[in-house]
Amino acid sequence: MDKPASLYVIEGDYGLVSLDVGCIESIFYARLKKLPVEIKLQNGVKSCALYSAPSLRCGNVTVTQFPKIHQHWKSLHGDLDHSLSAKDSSETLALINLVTMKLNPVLEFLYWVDQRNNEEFISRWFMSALPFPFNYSYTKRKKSEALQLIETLYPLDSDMEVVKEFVTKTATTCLSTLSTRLGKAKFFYGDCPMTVDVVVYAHLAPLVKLPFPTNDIPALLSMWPNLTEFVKRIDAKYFPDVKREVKYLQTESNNRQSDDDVSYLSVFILVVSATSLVVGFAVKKGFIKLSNFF
Amino acid sequence: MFGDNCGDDIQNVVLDIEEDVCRQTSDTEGEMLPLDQIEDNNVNITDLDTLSVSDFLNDLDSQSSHNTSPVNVDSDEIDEDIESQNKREIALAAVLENLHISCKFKFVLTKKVYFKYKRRLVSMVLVDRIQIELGAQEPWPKDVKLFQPYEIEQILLPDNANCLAVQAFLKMCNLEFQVEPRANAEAMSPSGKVPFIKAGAFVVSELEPIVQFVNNKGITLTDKLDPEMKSDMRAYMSLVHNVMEVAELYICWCDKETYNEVTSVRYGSIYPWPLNHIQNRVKRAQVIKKLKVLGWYQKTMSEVFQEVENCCQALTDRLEDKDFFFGDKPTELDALVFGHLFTILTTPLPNSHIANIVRNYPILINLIQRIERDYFKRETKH
Repeated sequence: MDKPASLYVIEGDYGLVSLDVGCIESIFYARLKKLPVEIKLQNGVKSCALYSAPSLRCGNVTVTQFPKIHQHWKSLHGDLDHSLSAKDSSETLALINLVTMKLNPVLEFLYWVDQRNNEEFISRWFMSALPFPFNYSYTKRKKSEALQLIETLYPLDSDMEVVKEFVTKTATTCLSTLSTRLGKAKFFYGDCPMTVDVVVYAHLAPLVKLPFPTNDIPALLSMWPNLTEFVKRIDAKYFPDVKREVKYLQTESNNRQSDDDVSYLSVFILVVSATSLVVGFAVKKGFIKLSNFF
Repeated sequence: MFGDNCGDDIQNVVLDIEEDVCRQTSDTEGEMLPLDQIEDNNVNITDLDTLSVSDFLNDLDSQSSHNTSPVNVDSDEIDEDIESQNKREIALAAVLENLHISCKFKFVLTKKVYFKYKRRLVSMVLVDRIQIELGAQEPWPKDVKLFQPYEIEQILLPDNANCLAVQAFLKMCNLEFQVEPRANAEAMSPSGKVPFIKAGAFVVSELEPIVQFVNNKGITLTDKLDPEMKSDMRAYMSLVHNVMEVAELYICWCDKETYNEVTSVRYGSIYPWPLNHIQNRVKRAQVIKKLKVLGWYQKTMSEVFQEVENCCQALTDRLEDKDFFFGDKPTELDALVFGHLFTILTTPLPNSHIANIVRNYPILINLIQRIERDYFKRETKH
């Protein structure tokens, strides 16, 4: 391959490499294996129109979704987990299934179904992070997907408060399972992160870092400090360059501040247009005769 | 599997609370408070060690502060409140009436606790907690019934697997029960999924809640496991649920041949002519929606078989050469694996590839035969 493969991802913020779970998994995996990938942010019209995040393009092939990207890399660059015994890799499969089955609905619920989170935070963020026509389609699509997921998981409950209780319960059991499994160890297997660490990190990091307006589910995490430690450890080791400051939603509040103290430019434009209007009117009505000046 | 069976809990709670109230009354006779003090709202409830209910209400204070007003409220306000809530809470009000009756025993439960109960019971998680906290202490009733669809002419692969798993689990626990086939078991179940058991006044559906329910009675298969092993077991159970069950659904409803020859005939067998086609369509649409959401609908048949193979491989690797997954005693994981694999092996389907995949793993076959011999053959002899 002459050209390095390019990985299209959603942008990151709040100290996350990306706001999308699949994107975090892909980026982290690529870094861990030191794969020759160029990471491209989806903030232009072209990349949004052609790819759905996360998608990997190498040569003429485009692969989307982390499980498939993972398969692709595995066949191309070898397995990250090759040092594990058969028993450990079978456990990896079980843990990955646990996380995708239990924690993924929790995240989807927090992101898109919980009304306050969605309206005040997630939707607004994606609206400003993605270019114009795609921000609408993306948020709409994600929201309906998440709603469908929740509907099929809890078919008999339409009341969101009740669903939320169930989701909280699922989150609690899953997190306690992970916490017990991790124990005091640095990573799940030995001193190096494996695929299971990638998946667990990608699902935990948004819970740890994003400032959700309704915070009761992320606050559960404080019951298991070793999970938070785990996220911090990975951040320090593999993502030291990711900035912690807020990119999108803060710029909005900056604008609002500048609304209060009026900028000089707008005063100038107002003055010029008002004077030209008055002068024009006066000239037209003949109050001022231009010939006087010549 | 996601704890979505809590609809059945209300009734359980009625009994739970009543029992607990009675039990505690007899337990705490020695330190019972004088009646005038009970009327007083300022009794310090945390002083009463035996009143574990108050402890957990206290620790709930910190969690569920978002929708609670001050605790000292008038009872009519509460009544209004409850009226305005949905029907589940109305049912809970009935629970509280029962509680009130029990409170006639000059019981240490002060007014304050009683009102707290009334307010907080709206949360279903809390209902679960009460269940866990108070535990259904009564012994296993004699007339437990396990409801499931008709095994010979109606049941489908995934349902059969789940029913068998629950049966295996109950037999492993040495608990008595009778299988009660019903054509409309699915509609009867509180969570919409089969099987479910009726034990006294309790109705519990699906494997995981049933395991929980049995554990509350003090009967458990996992008491010798350390927490790490338990979390391991939970991970493997979700693997089996996530792969085996979904793969079975896929084969039953998305493989054209299987659907036409087996699924539609069996699922429609209980309905009269025009209705069977309609019901089949409705159910199929539901299943397809579920598979789409889980990302399985886009998969091809061979990809599904690959997933099943990976899962079997993982289970074999975990089992190694031991008798059961965790030590020499079976756990609920063994029951679940038995339910799924035994059903896959014994159900005749037009496309028998999935059974052939399972046959390639002799270690798993041995496990299944062992469980079948130990727990299912025994009673046919009698």
